[in-house]
Amino acid sequence: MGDGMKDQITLTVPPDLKYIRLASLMGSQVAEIIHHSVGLENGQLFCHAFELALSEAFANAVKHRKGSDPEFQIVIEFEVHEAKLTVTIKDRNPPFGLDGASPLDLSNHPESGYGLFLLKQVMDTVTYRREKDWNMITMTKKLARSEKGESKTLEPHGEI
Amino acid sequence: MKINQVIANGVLVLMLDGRLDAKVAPLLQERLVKISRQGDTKIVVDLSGVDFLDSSGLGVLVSSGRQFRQLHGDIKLACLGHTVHRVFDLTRTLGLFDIYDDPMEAALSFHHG
Amino acid sequence: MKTLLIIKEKEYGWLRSVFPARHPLLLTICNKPLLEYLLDFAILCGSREIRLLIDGSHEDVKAYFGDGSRWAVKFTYAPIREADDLEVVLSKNRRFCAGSPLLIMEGLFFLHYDKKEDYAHFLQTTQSGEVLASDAGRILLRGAVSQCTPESVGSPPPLAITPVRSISDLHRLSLSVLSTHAHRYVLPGYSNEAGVYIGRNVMIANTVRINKPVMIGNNVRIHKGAVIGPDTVIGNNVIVDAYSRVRSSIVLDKTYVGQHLEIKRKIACGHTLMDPGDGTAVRLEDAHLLSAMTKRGRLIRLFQGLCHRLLAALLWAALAVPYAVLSFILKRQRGWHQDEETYFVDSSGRTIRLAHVSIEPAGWTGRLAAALALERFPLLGKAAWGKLNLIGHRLLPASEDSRHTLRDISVYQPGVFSYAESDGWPFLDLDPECSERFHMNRRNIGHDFLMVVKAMLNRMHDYEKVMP
Repeated sequence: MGDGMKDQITLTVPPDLKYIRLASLMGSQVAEIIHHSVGLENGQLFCHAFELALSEAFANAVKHRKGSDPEFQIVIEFEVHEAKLTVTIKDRNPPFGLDGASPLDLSNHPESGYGLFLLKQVMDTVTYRREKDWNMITMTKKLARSEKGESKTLEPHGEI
Repeated sequence: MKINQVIANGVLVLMLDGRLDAKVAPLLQERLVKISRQGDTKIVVDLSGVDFLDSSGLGVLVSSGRQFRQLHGDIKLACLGHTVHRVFDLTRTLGLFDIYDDPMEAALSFHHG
Repeated sequence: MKTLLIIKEKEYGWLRSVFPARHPLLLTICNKPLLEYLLDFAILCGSREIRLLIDGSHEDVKAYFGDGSRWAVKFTYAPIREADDLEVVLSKNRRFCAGSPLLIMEGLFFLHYDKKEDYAHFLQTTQSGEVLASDAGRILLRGAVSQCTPESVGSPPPLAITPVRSISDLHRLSLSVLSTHAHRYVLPGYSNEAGVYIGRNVMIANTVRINKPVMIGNNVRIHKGAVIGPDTVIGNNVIVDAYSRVRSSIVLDKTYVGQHLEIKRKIACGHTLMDPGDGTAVRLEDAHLLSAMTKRGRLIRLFQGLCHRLLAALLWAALAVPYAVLSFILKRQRGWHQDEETYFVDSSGRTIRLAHVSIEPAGWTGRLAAALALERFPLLGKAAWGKLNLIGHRLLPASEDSRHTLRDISVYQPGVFSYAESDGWPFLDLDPECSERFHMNRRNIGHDFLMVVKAMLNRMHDYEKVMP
């Protein structure tokens, strides 16, 4: 992909719940590798976020699957950037709206509907787009390194 | 996921081992329905062996908890790991359950009324 | 010695309505969360394992305290329910409580103690039972075997519970800790002289007067001619604009204090100015922003609007060729993603559909496109037509979450670029809303032009950040 190449990791999975663990652990493993190579603040939470997000997104994709033919495979694509880790789940199910459902009323403790809510809670950004026949949910988490930038000392400034 | 059960302090304790996700959640649901039909409506679910919980697993626990309470019983939880605890916290469902760090103590609490 | 901190929502529920933006347990006294004083005390007592038991949500609290490694202790969390009495709480935490004396602090209160005293020894010579009690809470010892001997008995070290039940309590406590008891606690900030505490990343103009005792948090800007103190606490991510005077007051995190304001014996928090004396509150922003706006006549505003549109058109023209070339190349490389999203366009909640572009900054084409902010190009057309400002508030997607943010903005004027970007957000850790309020108060053509240039220069400096 050119200079400053970012790593891309892709997994294609049949739309079957028996692979949910694979999808989920793929998320935590990729996150773990990044955490160990970069040294992240809250590394455990970072890895858990991807594990949970992938479990939810994969389950969602399987739930809405049209068929189990190869053309309906679910594609999971990770992109490692300088400042963020992104994962996109792609499926060829009918289009759906990420914000379509009425907002979850947590105070009533519903028995379902927590999936997308949790996804949005643990990831920094969650976006949906439809490209040709593909639904694509892209989730991002910034890489907050555990050593913060240098702190400035106090100096009197000019007129500010 | 493995589901074992024992009787402790006269109370049924369900011990879950493994991941509680969308694949496994229906099995747990089935087991809990069977248990309630057998008349055990006061049970403890020991989550010490659960290293991962997603919304499917959470949904089963929340709905079953509600059903057991409607039958004048309850589901008490024990030994929530960090990540399991986090899922409950994010969804504000911690307050729905009595949560213990010792399943024996949870079982005993049924006798205190 | 282990410690249990038991705090129920009913004890701090009032704080949620007064300070909705922050978890009540993270509310600060002298820029240090209330809860952290209790943690410090537990450590002074020799505790290395501390468990927090609350019946509400505590993600924010966990994000701050983590696992306690910052304090070299093990900090854990466990849920309780409102109806749980102490025995039930102990039963729910039987494993934690086993095998060691237990220090129990029940309730939310401010604890007066002195870090120089030996509380570990004091507790070793104390019998199990109630150590201290008040209607705000209590401190108990369980499972302790007193090692009291005639030689070890001395006068007990200072220890007192103060309730925190109103903003008046908060105000009084903060100022008394700052002015009289600062030496008793571990307080944040650097202190080169008594009575002055300054945090990280603080910019103070050289015509600012500081009258101690004063505490200033992290990421604070104090502009020319301002007077701070005496008896004043400035929180984190605060901007105090030019010629304002703040004394005997607390300015909490993420607050913008406009120009020429006189703040005396108040608590400023976000958009609100509270009077601890009578509990009244006014919107801080309205006081200066509206007066500034009425001063600027309609004709002037019209002229400024026209200049914005002209600038936008010029920028559009300048970027048209790079846009045409680079977007073509990137689309072929699959490094250009474009769709439409709905954004709020004014304070009433009206919306507009805008192109939403994201660029993958891989390779020189992606980097150049990101550095030139080409993902904003489709928005420049809207700005030239007057549908958007060239620079203003951040664009807020039309969602429930953003609606809350929108409610906090008196006059929402979204721009192609945001003022916060000109200050270096999101690369720098500062509060974007505060920054926007600061700039909105100084809006004029020259200033806006400079800020657009700054925003673009900041992007060129860090081209990774491409999402608007």
